[in-house]
Parts: sequence; C-alpha cells; structure tokens
Amino acid sequence: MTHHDPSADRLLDHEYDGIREYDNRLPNWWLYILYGSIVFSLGYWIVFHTLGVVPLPVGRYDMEMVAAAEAQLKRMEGQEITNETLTLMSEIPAKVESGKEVFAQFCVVCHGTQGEGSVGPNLTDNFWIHGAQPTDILHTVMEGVPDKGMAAWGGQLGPTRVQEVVSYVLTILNTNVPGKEPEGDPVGSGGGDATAPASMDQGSLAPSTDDGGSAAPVPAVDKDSGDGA
Amino acid sequence: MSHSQSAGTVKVVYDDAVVRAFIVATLIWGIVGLGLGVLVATQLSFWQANFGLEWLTFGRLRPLHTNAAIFAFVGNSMFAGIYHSSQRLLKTRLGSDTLSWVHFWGWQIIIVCAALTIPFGLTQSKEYAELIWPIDLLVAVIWVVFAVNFFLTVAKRNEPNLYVALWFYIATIVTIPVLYIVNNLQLPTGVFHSYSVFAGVQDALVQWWYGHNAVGFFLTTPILGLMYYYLPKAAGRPVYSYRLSIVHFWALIFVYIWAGPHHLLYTALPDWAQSLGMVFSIMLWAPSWGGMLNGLLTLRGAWDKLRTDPVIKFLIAAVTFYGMSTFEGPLLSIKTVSSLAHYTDWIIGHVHGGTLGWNGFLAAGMIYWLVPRLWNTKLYNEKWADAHFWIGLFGILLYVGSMWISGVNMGLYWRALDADGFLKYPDFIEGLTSAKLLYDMRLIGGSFYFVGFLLMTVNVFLTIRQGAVEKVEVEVPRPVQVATTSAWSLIKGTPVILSVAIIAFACLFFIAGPVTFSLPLGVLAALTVASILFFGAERREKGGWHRLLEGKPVAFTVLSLVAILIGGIAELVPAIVVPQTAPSVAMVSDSSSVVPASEDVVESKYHQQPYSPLELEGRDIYIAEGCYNCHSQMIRPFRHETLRYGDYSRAEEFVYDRPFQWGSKRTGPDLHRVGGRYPNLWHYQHMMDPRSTSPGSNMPQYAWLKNRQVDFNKTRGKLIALQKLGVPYTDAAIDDCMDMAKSQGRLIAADLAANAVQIDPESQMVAVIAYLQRLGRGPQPVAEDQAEIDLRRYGLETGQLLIDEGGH
Repeated sequence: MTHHDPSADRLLDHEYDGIREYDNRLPNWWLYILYGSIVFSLGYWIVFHTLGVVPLPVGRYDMEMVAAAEAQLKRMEGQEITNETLTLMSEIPAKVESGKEVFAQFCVVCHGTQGEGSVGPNLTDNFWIHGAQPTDILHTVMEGVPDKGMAAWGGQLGPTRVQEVVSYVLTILNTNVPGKEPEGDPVGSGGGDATAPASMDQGSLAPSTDDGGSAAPVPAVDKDSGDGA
Repeated sequence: MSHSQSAGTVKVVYDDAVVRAFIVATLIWGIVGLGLGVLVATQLSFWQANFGLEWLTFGRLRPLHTNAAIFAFVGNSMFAGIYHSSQRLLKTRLGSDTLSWVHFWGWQIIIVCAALTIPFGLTQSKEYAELIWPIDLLVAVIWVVFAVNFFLTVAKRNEPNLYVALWFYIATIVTIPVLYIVNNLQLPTGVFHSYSVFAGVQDALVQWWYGHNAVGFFLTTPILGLMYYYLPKAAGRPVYSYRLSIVHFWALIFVYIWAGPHHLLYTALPDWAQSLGMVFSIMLWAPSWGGMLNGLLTLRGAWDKLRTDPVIKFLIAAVTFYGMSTFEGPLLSIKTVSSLAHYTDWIIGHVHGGTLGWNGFLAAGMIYWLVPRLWNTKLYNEKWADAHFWIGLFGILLYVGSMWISGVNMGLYWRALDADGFLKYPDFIEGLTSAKLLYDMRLIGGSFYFVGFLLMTVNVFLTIRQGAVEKVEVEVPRPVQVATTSAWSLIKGTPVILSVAIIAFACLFFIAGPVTFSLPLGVLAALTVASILFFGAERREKGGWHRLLEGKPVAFTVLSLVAILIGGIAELVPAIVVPQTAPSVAMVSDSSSVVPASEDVVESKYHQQPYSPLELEGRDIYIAEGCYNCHSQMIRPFRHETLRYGDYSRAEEFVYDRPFQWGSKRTGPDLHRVGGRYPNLWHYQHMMDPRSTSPGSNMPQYAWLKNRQVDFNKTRGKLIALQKLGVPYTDAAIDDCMDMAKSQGRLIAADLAANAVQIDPESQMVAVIAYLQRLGRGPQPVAEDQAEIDLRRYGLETGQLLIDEGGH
C-alpha cells in the first residue's frame, strides 16, 4: 500500500508511551510556503506602509468616490449644468486643481489668495450676496455683477474654466479664513435653502437609501447637522 | 499514588475516573451545543422558531450555542484527552485527585451558570466572552486549578522529556488566562452587569485579539496536542517528523497571537494594526499546515486503516478539515477577500468547517478510541461508528458548502451596482431572501451532523453498559538522573538569542522609514540565514538545545509565555497608550459644545457626546437582546456601503462604546447611522413585527419590549461607573439622570401617541428607540415636561446638558 518506504526514514531513539518519531526533513514545498509568506509580508509592508506607494482602505475609498463622480459627470454630459454637476466636479481633484489655477490667475486680485476677500467679498464664509446655490455662483461668475464691480468672466474664460473655478470655490466654502467681514445673506436664511452647497459634501453620491423596508417613508433629516452633533 | 517497587521501576496507578467523567460530559454538552445550533439554524430559516419566547430568540441563543460548542463540548473533550494522555506521556498519576475533581465539577458549574444567564439577557456581548463577570472569575479560578494540577503532574513525572503533545498543552494553559483576563477587564455596576474598561476601537482590538486566539489556543493548540497523541497511537505508526514538530510549534504559537486584527479589516481600526493582522495571518499558513502534515504523513504505511478503522477515518478527516480551515483562514485575511466575505455567511461556513470538522471529528475519533479502553470492552457497534462518520461528513459538507455559496452570494448582492453606478439591490432584504434555500440546506446539514452525534452517544452509552471499570496500574522505569544544563543556560541559548534578535530587527523594520528600512531588512536576512544554518546543524537526539529544553518544563513554559506575549504587547499597547490611534476622552470633550481657546485642536464632525441616560439604558437592552449577532455598527469605506448606510464609520465615533457593538455578521443591515433615518413609528412597528416594515425579514418579534419597564433605579449607578471610566458625565447630570431619562422617554411616547400608538414612556421599547435614533448622531432632545415637547425641534438639537462644559 505504501508509495514511500518509511523504513528508509530515520527513527529517533526515544519513545513516549509507545509513540516513536521520525526525523524527516521539512518538505521543500512547505518551506516555500513558509518563506514565501514571510517575503510577501515584508514586501506588503514596504509597499503599503514603509513607502506608502499604494493607497490603504480610506485612500482607495477616496479614489473610488472620485471615479464614481467622474463616471456620473460623464453620464450627465451634454445636459444642462445643474447644482449636481458642479458639486460632482468639486469632488474631482483634477477639476478643482484646474479651478484653483484659474482662481490664482484671475480672482485673487479681488477675492484674496485664499478667497478671504479684499475688494470683493469673502468667499470662505457662509454668507452670499447673489445666491448660494452652485448654479447661482456659476451665474455670478459667467455674467458678472457690473453694479458691484464683478466682471463677467464667461467670455474671457469660457464655460469649462468657469465651471472649474466654481468647483474650486465650492471646496473653500465654510473654511472661514479670516478676512473681509460677511456680506449678504447667511445660508439657510432665505438666501439659500437647506440644500445649500455646504451640505452637499458626501451627499450627492451617497443619498439616503431605503435599506430596511421599502414601504416606509424616509423622514427628511439634515444629515450634516446630525453628524456634527 | 506511586510508590517504590524496586530500585529500577515505579508502580503508577492512572486516574482514569476523571477522564471518564469528562468523556460523559463531552457527550452531554455536545448534544446541548449541537442541538442549540440546530435550533438557531431553524430560527434563521423560520423566524417563528423562538415560539414567541424572549429567552429563545436568536440574539440570546446564538451566544449560548457558541459558548456551549467551544467551552462545554470542545472544552470537556480537551480536558478528557489532556488528562488521559498526559498521565501516559509523563508516566505518572495526575497531580492531585482533589484538584482533578474540583476542575471537573467547577467546569460543569460554569457551563450551567452560562446556561442560566445568557438566555436571560445577562451578557457582556463580546463574542465567545459573553459570560458576565462573576462567571468570568470562576472560569479564571478553575483554569488555575487545571494549570496547577497539570504542572503538578509534570513535576512528579517519571519521563524526563516532554513529548510534543505536552508542548501544545503547555502553550494552551499559559495563553488562555492571559487572553481571558485582559479581555474581561471591566467595572461592575452590579452582580449581573459591568462596563468594559476598554472603549470603541480599543475594545474591538482587545476583543478580537481574544476572539481569534480563543480559536488559536482553545480550539487549535490543545487539539493539535491530542492529535499528536491519539493519531500515532491509533495508527500504530511513528510521527512523521520531529523537527517539523519543533518548527511548527514555535512558529504557530508566536505567529497566531498577532493575527486577531484580521477580524477588523476595513473597520475604523488603524491601518497599521489591520495590515499586521493580515500579514501575520498569511504567515500562519505554513505553521498551521506543519501540524496537518505531521498528522497526515504519520499515516504513511498504514493508509489501509483509513478504509477499515472508524477511529482513523475520524482523525484523518479531522486533520484534513484542519488543513482546509487553516488555508481558508489566511485567504479570508487578505484584505480584498475580506471586503467580500466579512459580515457574510462565508465566515459562518469557515468556522463550522473548523469546529464540526476539526474539533468535532477529532473528539469523535478520540472518543471511539478511548471509550473501549476506559471501560475495558469493545465498541458496542463498529458499523454505527462508520455510519456516524459518513452522516457527519455529509452534514459538514452540506453545511459548509451552502454557507460558502450564501456568503459569496450575499457579498455580491451588497456590492452590486447598476448601469448608473448606484446600488442594484438597494433593499438589504433582497440578499437575505435570495439565500433562503441555502439557509434551509444549512439546517439540513447541521441536523445530519447532530443525528450522527446522537448515534455516537447511543453507541458509547451501550459500550459503557457492557464494559467494566478497572484499575490501571503500570510499572514504569524510574527516571535516570542525568546531569543536564541549567534552565537558565537554555533560556540564554543560541536559538533564543537568534529569535530575540530577529524579532527586535523585525520590529525596527516595521517602524522604520522609507530609507532606513533597508538596514533592519538586511540584518533580518543575515539573521535568517544564520538561523537556518544553526538549525540545520543542531543535534536533535541527545544534547541538542531543544532536546534539553524538553527536559526543563519551567524554561519551556517561560519561553512559550514570552512567545505569545510579544504579539499581544506589540499590537495592544500602542493602540491603548498612543492617543491618536483612538481619540481620548480629553480630546473629545475639548471639541464638545464649548470650543477651547486653542486653535490646534483638530475638529471632527464625528466627535461624540456621551449617551443620554435613556439612550444608555436602550443600549444595554440592545446588548442584552444580542442585536449585535445580526447587526453590525461599522460602515466600511466602500462606496457601496456608504451609498447604503451613509458615511463610513470613524474611530472617534466609538469612544463612549463600552463594550463596542461593531458586530461580525450582517443577517440584518448595518445600524451605525440608522439614527434619524426612520420615524419612531417605523422602529415601533419594526420591533413589534419586523415583517410589517421589512417584508421577508427573519428577525424575531420583540413585542415584549413594549410591556417591560426599564429599571431607572440602576441608571445612576451605571452613569457613575462610566464616569469613573472617564466618560465626562457631570455630577449634575448623574443626579438628574432619572428625570432626564423619563423626559426623553415622554418625548418619544408623545410622538408615537401622535401616530395613534399608546406606549409607556418608561418601557424598554422606548429606550431602544431612543438608542437607535441616536446612532450616528449626537444625543437627542430631552423634554422638561409635556408642554415643552416640540416635534419640529426634533433631530435638530442636541442634549448639551450632559456635557461637563469645563472639559476634562
């Protein structure tokens, strides 16, 4: 019955309650697994932690969210620009970065290097003169407000760059950089409603879904004020 | 009991009475544990199977099932085998007859206490550590009795060297108390209730360090020890490789202890701990398979027995299942695989392959081999034993197969996206109902296994009836006193120095920077080569280092203890003492209602305020009902999870969770951000009849929560205990807690009354709703009196009264 002749193995001279032991060497394939798993572990650590060249779970999640925003934006191509379009763009670092460059070139003169305001109003507070919705901001930049000294940038920059600069502005909201005093209406007091940009950070791609029971209504709860408690 | 016979030999009378008692206990508790398993499996298929009785609900019985299977069934079988084999391997009677019987009866009392508390909602809710603190103390005492008895036996041994089985027993005996004591550190609020000294992320890490190593050192190491005795005995063949025994023993116990965090991949646990858990799990593969190899290859030259001998069938199948589970374990620990399998039935299949296949079959093989020898007769019916094997094997395969499929299926349901990039199955229940057939198959598989076990019990009972107990007296040679090296010189021997150096440089490697890491890595490589060369040259028969160590049980025990402490210290201590891994209470109170002058404080919208008194009571009911058995509170950073449940969970959200309630299985949806998602009425209807809001749900009804009142007399004591643990409750809030709890209850009751549901504001139902509505948000409004109830405010204000505004 035996494929291998055990009599060739070396028996140790000791016995315990009748149990004897061979002293066979460790099988090579077993050693390969042992050493391989150790080498893999060291390599994994170097790549993910020591060098940090591959993102860990949260970094990967951020990438997943950006990819989803890009895909969503692609699906909405050719449609009218909405609040959702601009919010999605503000979630894509490449668009925000382009917007930031445009901002640095054309906007800092009046709105300050961080958007804290000088000639123009502070863009980092929670107050808006001409509407707080992303599309309101877009309109303000495109058409300008000649009475107040805000130029119409639509022609000079073109729609893409304007959309990008608005997406950048959406990311500096509520950073409250000390600068010019608030002007206009606070968000949520009539100037804008509860769906103001500030509350659209995670919300646009992670809407409240009905997981437990499809029959029941979902109450309108402002997620942000709840999470912040 | 031994007395000198002549100069050369000693007469030894083995104590087999206590072994027989443990065998009988194994069979009785096996039936209880497996029977409970069949009952809870029935409940998952047919929710009505708790018969409307609160103490039979899944949430309460599942912990009883796991505790009975692990500590009662496997525990008793382990003690039977250890006591039987140790006497033979050490050629002496057990250390003390008294301690043996204190151990036996103490363990049975612990099991009875568990059965009398867990179904009544008295639980700590930490998995496999549910027993309340007085029983924990009893477990610790009885384990010490076991340890003392074992080491007394070792001390008066007539065999100088310790065989490999005993190494594994020693590792088990020293590791279990370390795990058990640390994980059960808690502050009692009464005889039946306590709060964990650890909170949130730290509690999770400590729990899964324990939980994983309960598998490692209660279900694995002692059973490997049993395998090393009973398999070569039954096969009549030498063990395959002594040097493999040495390598896989030390590698196994050293590596095992690190792998706990693989239960917490993609959670709020810091990334470094997650990655350590993953890589050490992968490195555990070879050490585990070393045990399997030594088991399977021991049968070389006797494979024919696999056809004829039921004992060999059970033992070899057990070792095969061990090999399968210990391959599956590292596989599941790979982060990407875990992202699919975690929270699903795949894990249920994995653990049942281990317990039913490895633990259950090894116990069966051992019992079929032992019982005829202990009662001096032949097995009553060999064919029945054979039938047991095939019925059991079919049962396991059906069980594990259906759970694998169900697990992968459910994981895919949860993550599936439609063409628009949004959830394809937005209703959680769709995944669950799709698995109904698989759940039924699991029930059938488990029932087969149960029937096989009953057949063994009958067979053993009839064997015992036809047998007779006899005194076992043997004459053993008196041990020859050989002059050996001292224990100390062994402890500072070359292998230890090499190991310490490797571990030290490995630690340096793990904390080194992008450039400096190459230095410890190079040293590690050199040390590894040196170790391999040293080990290859080591004399293994007489005079070699390990041979000498086997004659020094104290030194052996100390080195084993050190080996298992390193991983625990390396993972737990940084997580507990370094504040940024889990924000401390001080950081949290800094960012509460009064923002301090310092601008350095990192603001997080996830920083929490403590639970209100009513929410705390609701949380304790949630724990008592065992909701964590089916509902997680840990949203992982995947878009499909944040779409379904809301933003992913952050470490700082759990600083007041004692114990943590992350859960490990989603038979129902995650609840971490369920607060504010549904109206109170939804929760009321859902708990009265889950199918009214979630058609297809298999959750039991919790109607009794409506008729049972919260005992607010205990609330104050609970808050004081939590304050002592560092939760920033003000003295005023503690003094006022009863009124505060009742007023919050009135607010919820008034809301329900507005929807035509009359409910006692002090009922448990209201407390649970208060807790659920607060999850993922801050404390919810408290009404001073009926007139102040203003539903429009609801959900928009926080109960800032609770916070000590001065900060801590």
